[in-house]
Amino acid sequence: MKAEILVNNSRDAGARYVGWSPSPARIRLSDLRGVTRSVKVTLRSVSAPGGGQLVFYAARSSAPRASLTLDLPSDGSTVSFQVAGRFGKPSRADGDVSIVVKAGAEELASVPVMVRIRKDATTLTAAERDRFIDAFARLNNRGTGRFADFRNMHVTGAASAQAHGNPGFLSWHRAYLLDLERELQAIDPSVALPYWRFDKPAPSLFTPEFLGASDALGTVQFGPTNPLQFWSTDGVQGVKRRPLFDTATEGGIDLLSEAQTLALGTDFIDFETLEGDPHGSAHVSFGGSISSIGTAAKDPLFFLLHANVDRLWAKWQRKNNRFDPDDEASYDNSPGHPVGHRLADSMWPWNGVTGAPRPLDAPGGALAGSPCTTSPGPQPRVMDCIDYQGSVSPQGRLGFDYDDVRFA
Amino acid sequence: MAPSSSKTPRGRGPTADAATLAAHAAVLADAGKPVKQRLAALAALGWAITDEPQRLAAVLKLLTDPSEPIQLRLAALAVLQSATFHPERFERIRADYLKALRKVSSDDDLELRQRALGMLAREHDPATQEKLIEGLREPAKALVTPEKALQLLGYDLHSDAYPIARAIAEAPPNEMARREALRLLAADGASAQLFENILMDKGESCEIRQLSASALHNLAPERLQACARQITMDSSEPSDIRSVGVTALTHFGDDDTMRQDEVLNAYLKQLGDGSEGEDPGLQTAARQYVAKRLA
Amino acid sequence: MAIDLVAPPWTEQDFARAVEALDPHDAVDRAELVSFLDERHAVHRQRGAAAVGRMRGWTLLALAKAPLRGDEVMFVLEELQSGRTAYELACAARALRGVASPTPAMAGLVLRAASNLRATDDHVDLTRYGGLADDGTDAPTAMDALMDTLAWLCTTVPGTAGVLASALRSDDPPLSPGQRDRVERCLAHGLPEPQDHPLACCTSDADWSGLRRSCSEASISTDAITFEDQDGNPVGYANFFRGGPTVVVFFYTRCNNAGKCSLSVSKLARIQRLLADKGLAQVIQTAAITYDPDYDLAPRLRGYAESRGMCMDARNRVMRTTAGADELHAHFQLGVNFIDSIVNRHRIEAFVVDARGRISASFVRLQWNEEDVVAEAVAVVDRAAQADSHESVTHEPDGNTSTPTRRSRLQAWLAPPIYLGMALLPKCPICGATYLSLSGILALPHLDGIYWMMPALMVLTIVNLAGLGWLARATRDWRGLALGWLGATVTLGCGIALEQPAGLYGGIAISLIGCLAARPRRGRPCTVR
Repeated sequence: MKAEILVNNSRDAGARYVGWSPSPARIRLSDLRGVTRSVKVTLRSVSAPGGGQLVFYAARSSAPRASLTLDLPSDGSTVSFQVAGRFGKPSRADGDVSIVVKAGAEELASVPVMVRIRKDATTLTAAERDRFIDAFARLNNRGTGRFADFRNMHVTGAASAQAHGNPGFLSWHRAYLLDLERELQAIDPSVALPYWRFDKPAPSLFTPEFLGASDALGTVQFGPTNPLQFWSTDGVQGVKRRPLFDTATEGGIDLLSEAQTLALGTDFIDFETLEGDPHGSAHVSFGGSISSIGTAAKDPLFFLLHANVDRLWAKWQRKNNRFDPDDEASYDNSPGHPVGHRLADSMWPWNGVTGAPRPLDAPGGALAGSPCTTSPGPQPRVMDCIDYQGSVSPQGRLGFDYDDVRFA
Repeated sequence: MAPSSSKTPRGRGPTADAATLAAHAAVLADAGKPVKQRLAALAALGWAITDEPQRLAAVLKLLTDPSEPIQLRLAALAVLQSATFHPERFERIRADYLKALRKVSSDDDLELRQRALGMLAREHDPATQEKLIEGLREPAKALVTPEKALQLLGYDLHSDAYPIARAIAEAPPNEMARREALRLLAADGASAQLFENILMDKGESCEIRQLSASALHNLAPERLQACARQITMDSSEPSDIRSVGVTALTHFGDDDTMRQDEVLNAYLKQLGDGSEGEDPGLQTAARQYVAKRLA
Repeated sequence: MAIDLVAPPWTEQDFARAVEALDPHDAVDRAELVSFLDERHAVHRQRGAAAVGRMRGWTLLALAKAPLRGDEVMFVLEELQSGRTAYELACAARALRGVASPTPAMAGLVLRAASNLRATDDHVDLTRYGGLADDGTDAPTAMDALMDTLAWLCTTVPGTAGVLASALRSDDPPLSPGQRDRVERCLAHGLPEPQDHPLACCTSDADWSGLRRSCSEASISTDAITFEDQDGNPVGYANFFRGGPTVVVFFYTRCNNAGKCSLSVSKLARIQRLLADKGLAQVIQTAAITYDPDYDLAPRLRGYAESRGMCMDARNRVMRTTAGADELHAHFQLGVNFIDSIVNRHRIEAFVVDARGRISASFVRLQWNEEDVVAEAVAVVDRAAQADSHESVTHEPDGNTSTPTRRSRLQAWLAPPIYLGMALLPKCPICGATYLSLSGILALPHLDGIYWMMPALMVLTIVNLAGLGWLARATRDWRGLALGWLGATVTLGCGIALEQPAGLYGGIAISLIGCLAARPRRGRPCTVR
């Protein structure tokens, strides 16, 4: 007797990635020889040492459990359930946790899964770090890869106005990071975008083995085995970054702590001031590319900086239950905001719209898809980036989670 | 789901904020107050320094006034720079901001000078590029070290810096200047041969050779792969540069070519298995190659 | 001119002095000033982009001291439409006030410049070369210069108000709140909208396309030009560009002006969609060629084009030159210059190339419209179809008939006998009947009473000569008619009148050769702008 499990309702091995938010799944008996009646099976999570752990839901509204018992029909039809990572127990490697299905003592299926979570960059194992920088270096690929589009999306002028200075700042950057992360996952599906916790020291991040150590001049030095040594943007080699603080013992300069940021206010209109501080302050804690809006995306650190900004937003959302776009406190949809910043607006460049008031060109095309979820779609709207865990609408789940922001 | 929208713009209470901001501005402008207090006032003002022309003018004046404490001036610079991340604010202030930056780009304080020049260079300010190039030609007029000037000129690949960079690469005042000159020259698509020659020159430092490898990857990736293979197999090469070669092969080599190169694969497998005296970094690189290419 | 600006070394200050020394009211000096605005001029070689910008701005200011006319105005409009740097935009704004006949639509371009300047405004002192203001002075900004020119247009050119009002209503181009306030102040102090000046005539960018049509035979051989496309495939100029019309744009991936290269390639992608919608994708090709072949290797070309929506296949390619770059530049007269191998300045340029690889239309300097380019390409297709069925005259400006290249001349002479030989090969019963008829014709002289057919023969001869005469007039090639006359003379004189069979055969043969010599020539009518 055998069973088949479809994680994220897909046979695609690329869909076997879950976060804290419940992912839909289905199970059925796939080998019906000798089966004459329904079979009671138990689903459990079996982890490699140090690996992730899973929880199961009979239905999305039910409580998570370490194991789940289901009756599988004898005709091979599917039974739905939900699966997620156990909060606080993310994977460290692809497939380091499995969904094991047993009928009594007989194992019917074992499907390796990964609890793929965006983590604090300083907590990554060497292997996680290396997979991330490998994927990132290949995405950059001497400036010929898709990274050139990500660089060209974040420039001054009309493009900058699509992403900054108005309420859509957070949604736009959430979509931007998600697009980049999915491109990284197309190279290595085990990769999730880490974040730089800029209000804390991050000694292991600014090293030759990771994002580079800056010399006195502000040129970033990478180790001989670090593929980021081949980093190139705009036809120019390398990264210019000069920390204005001691990265080993300090966080960024004069910026709001996490607690202070979360205390900016319970209404979005107050919270969004984080764009100035700590976001702007984090950028200008350095000399070099990352400290100017038109050159910031030339530095790979930029994406980890913004992953932390996004994490702060996610944490604030969880703390104040701000996932519903219809809730005025979740998003400032006042009239008068420019196009691209209203809830129902599609976002440039993914919408492909060019010409006033949008920029003249739209590099990169649609937002990358994912085998794990259909959201936010190839041309996301501002509102599509708010309910990232699918708390209000399960279909809105975007397929990422942060290590310290739980689901519900 | 249909989004709702307020009928009137929502906002924070303007009156209280205005009074508080005015108080902070007054503290900031008061040279008699302790620096710490003035710094706190500046931090509290944040982006609001750009909301009113007089407030902005006061901060710019503070920035460009050499008699003000340097910590305050640097903090003012940071807040202004942070405000440039808001496009609408930056539009309003850019001209005056650049004017102030140009003024402090020749300030006595090196840190302030350097930061201002960096910001101007990233804005592709033509006058700044001219000053930096002039400083390279006539060291007596230099505002920063030649390596710093070259680094800053590298923000604009369309600048006038190539002739002077070439001259410095040939006759550098120091090794770091040569490094930055070469980095700048790597933007020239016709320079692949230069970097191939440097990469294969065992007399060059590992740092310069590493930079050349990166440049060659950018300009002629197939030639880098050929050089990387040669370097990898050459046990007389320094371990660091061999590691660079292995890394290039691991991450950027053509899949088919790598798979069919039995000699290289066997060599790296043996290297990764560990033998006495081999550099641990090189062994790690070899193991990464094996894990990625031969698994 | 005091300084030799072609032979280095000379400084920008030398250039500035040389420009100041030229008299814009003097025709010769003026022509030299205009030449400095040509991207290909040697003064721009081996200079950085900022230096080139300073030189161009200073030149525009000098030119504008006398009224700007004709093509000179295009340089100003080009800068306003696509420029991004404060100094050059300020210079263009000032220069616009030197235009001899300003139109309301120019206000639209000033607004576009203001929109482009939002991220790059700066203080500019136009009295100084390069525009850098002294620290102590309170120089105006480039935005001030644009608004001053806008105010001048508002108070000088009727109809400007309508253009501005329309732009503000449509928020195209997008302006900041401060800019909108300033525009509204211009409106408030400007001329009222005249009653008899309908808005419809004053649309902003509609009238300028930079279109030039040219039909001259190429004087530069393109045989040496080879490319590598986005997949690394080698392709020769003739192999790609001969056989069907092609829309060509030039670009490079490191262009930092989104209104130039990135937009051009994005628009080329839209042209591809337009062609597909019209069912012309298999008739008209597209190509994007990089100015930067050393850096823009195949993967870079592919990535750049893909991210801007271009489709790529055998008929639609993104290419870099691998040989013949000089010839390519000369053939297209590309407006570009370099510092080392890096582009320091280029103009917007798109071309329609005909099926023989000749440039049929060029769109230079100003933003071109996809529909206009497609229309030109379709016109090439139509003209080629017409030329297949009848002859047309080609003229060069000096009135000489254009001559084919050496190779095509040889082909032209060899083709008829080859085709005739193929035609004469017996292939079917009709061929058999034809040969029998030919035998019959050959036997004519031996028939009794053949000479009573003389009137019929004369009529046929006249018809033949009339046809040859019409063709000769159309093609201005009189050889066929001359041979026809000779053949008729020999046929009727020696063959019929003197009853000489050799004369009859010979005359018929000469007439036949005359018919073959009078073949239609391919070409099309042209207008030279």
